Amino acid sequence: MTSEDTDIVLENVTFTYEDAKRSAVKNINLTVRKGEKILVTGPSGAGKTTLCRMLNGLIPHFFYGNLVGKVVIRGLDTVSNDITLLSAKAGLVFQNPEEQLVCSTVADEIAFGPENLCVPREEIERRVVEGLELARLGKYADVNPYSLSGGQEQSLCVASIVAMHPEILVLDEPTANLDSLGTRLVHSMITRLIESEQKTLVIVSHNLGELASYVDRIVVFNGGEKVLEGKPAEVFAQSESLHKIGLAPPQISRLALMLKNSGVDLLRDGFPPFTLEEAYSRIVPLLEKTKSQKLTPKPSSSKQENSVTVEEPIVVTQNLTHVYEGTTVEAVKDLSVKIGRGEFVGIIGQNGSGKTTLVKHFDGLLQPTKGKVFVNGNDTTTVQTSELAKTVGYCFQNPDHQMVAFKVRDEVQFGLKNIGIPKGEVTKRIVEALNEVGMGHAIDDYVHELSQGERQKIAVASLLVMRPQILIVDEPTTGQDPSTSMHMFELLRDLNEKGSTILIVSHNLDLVARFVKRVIVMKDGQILYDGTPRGAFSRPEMLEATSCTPPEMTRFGQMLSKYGIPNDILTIEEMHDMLVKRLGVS
Amino acid sequence: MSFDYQPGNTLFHKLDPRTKFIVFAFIVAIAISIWDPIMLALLSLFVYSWSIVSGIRDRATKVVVKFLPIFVFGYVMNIAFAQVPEPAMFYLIPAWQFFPISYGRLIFAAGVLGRIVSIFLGIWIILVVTPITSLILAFVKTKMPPEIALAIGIGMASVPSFLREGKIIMEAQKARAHKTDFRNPIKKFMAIVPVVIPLIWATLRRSQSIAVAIEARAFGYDLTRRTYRTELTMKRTDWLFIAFFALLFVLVRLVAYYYPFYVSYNFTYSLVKSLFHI
Repeated sequence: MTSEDTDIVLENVTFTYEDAKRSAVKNINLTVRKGEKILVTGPSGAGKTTLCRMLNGLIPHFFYGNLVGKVVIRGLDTVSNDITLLSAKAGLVFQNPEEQLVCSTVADEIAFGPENLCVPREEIERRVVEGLELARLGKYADVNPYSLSGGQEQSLCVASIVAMHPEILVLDEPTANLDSLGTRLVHSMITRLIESEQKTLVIVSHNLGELASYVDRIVVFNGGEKVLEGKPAEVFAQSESLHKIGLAPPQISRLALMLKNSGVDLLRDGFPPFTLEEAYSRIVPLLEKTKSQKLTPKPSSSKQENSVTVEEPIVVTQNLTHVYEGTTVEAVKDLSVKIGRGEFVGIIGQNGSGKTTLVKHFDGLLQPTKGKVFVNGNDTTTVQTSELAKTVGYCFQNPDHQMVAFKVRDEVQFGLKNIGIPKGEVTKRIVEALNEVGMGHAIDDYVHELSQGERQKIAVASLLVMRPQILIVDEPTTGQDPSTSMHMFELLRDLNEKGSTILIVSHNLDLVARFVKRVIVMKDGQILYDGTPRGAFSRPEMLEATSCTPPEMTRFGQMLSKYGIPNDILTIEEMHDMLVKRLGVS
Repeated sequence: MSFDYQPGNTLFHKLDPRTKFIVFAFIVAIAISIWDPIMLALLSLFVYSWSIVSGIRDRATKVVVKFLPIFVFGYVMNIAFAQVPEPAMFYLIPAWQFFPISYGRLIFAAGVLGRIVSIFLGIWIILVVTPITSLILAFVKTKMPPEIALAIGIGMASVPSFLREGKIIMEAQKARAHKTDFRNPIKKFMAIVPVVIPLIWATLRRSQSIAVAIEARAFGYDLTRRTYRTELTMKRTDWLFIAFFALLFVLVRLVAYYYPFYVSYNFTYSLVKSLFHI
């Protein structure tokens, strides 16, 4: 390969941030051809973001440290060239859209980069029109970017970078902070970009399934090192290794590998499928051959079968309606629901469906505009939030929004001070709460030195310490890698098994399907469904209406329903057992 | 105070941002030339009428209502500390002879209130009807260094996000039984600390991420040759506006010079005296 053919070259690169004890990336060698599309993945702390920062010169010009080796971007050494020159060659989009928006209108946001690059006014205007079209934001040109949805904001960030006409586009976890609708929006924009432009593309993502079919290569990082590299099928053939390092390879690849061990071969040249369509085309001939053994399709579970009986209500809403100040929209409408003591409930729905508005009423952060909310039999309008906090713990999406202390011990103690627990009991409670979340060892650590996943656990501990009967956790997996997300759900399951009532608001439907016992699906401030997860996910039309994507295995089951596969399968294990049975393999 | 841009195509939206600032400067100059509460009330109403013309009346009304406690506080303070040569009718704290109350003081303070409202509304309306990029360009055209102009612009654009973050932090602390509704001002002040600390962290993080984001978008590539999507041109309407407000200012100054009675608080004072036979 000649240097003209390559856009990115990393030679034996090691980088250690200033004041860091260990290197963020170690001895990386990576070459990306012109026009090549690569997907970089790895668990948190793997070095993915550091790699992105090196590609446009943020390292070493903005983030200082010790850079060993050579990083060359389109022939320019990143050490000897200025960051502004490099960023014109390699455009970088970050994870959180709100941390990238700097202008007061959508059109100005797109124009910001070209303006910096001294592009003539007429050309800027042309690029703005192009960017608005690419991001499908034509009618929002004069709108404040902060009033857009998360998906639209991130689409705007991508369009703003594309408007600079960089030859290389680097997207650092562009959908990590988005709901499923936002993710779909950004993914469709990225695929449009891939199909229409010959740019070199580096996408960092934990979401391996959706983008894998569009990329030429996947590079896997772990602990700062490149541990795996190859075509998507080659990488997914190592699904178990990926799983072990905390990644979530497409469930369909893992299923194919499990089936192989059971004697059903869906592999081609030794490689598993990684899209549902590919797997479908491979399994259908096998299912056709065994038509005689066809199972009677299981009828969709009835409404009654899926309903959940609430025996001892701890939270009750009666005709709850909430209208936010300064608006006329009913964020929740005439909503009546009961949550029973000891339940594990998942509340799902797209952004703006009223999930958070509903649960904020349970600890008095919001008061009903109409209707009533009772917690433990008490009307929430008659009890102060500080009193309700003893019964209801509310854990916010971003743990940093509540960290007030430097040390873990002081952070966890904060709530106890507020509710006036006697001094003698404080330490005992702190230790208990930290042990419950598996962070007992960190009691004397500094909060801001912990990872985000660990800070999330401290946030939960700082609520558990007040011994609430109900724990509400709002989007605990946003921005987290699959392993951290799984740990959070496991923690909540353990707490539920010990008797806590858990309410979780989440976009991670794979985990919701796996862990919760009851699902409430919301849309436009109303409840569309309230029952078992199996019942919820077996209704694709309803989920589609709420822009929620059912778990991969459920979708696969629904594709195969005419072959007698039930439409409410939730996990890989269930699907494996069903197919083995259906194909008559012992 | 939310001063994020309200898109529109009204006369005020179309004015050159430099014109808007010149007009605002005249409003300030007029407001400080007058002490009479009736004249200042008229000036406030005149400025408020800009919000009607700009299609932001409801927002303007809400912002005035929101700031009413501050305006009332300002009014009360001006009653207490007004330098009016008039004996007090009574004192609010008679033992210390503190907080004298008299007609003159009440009227004088009303004038100051009118001045504050007109200036506050003036700058608020100008900010709301002007995109930040136009403001930046106006600053640059008036020879402000582009990096400072852009920094101001980015700071202003970040206000909605900052306010949103502040609200979430407040809620997160309330959810941990943190109380803020104390009557004791010291306790009330101390209750802010758990909100301020995460807000400072959030602001620091946000400052860094914004700095990274603008670097990644080639900010500083060549500031002297930087181009701007918006072009600023002074049109006939701009000059007419400037001329009108310049004339108004001259008129007020002439009245103040030849007929000072009509711009001082004494005009309203004598009116009140004759109306109520004081």
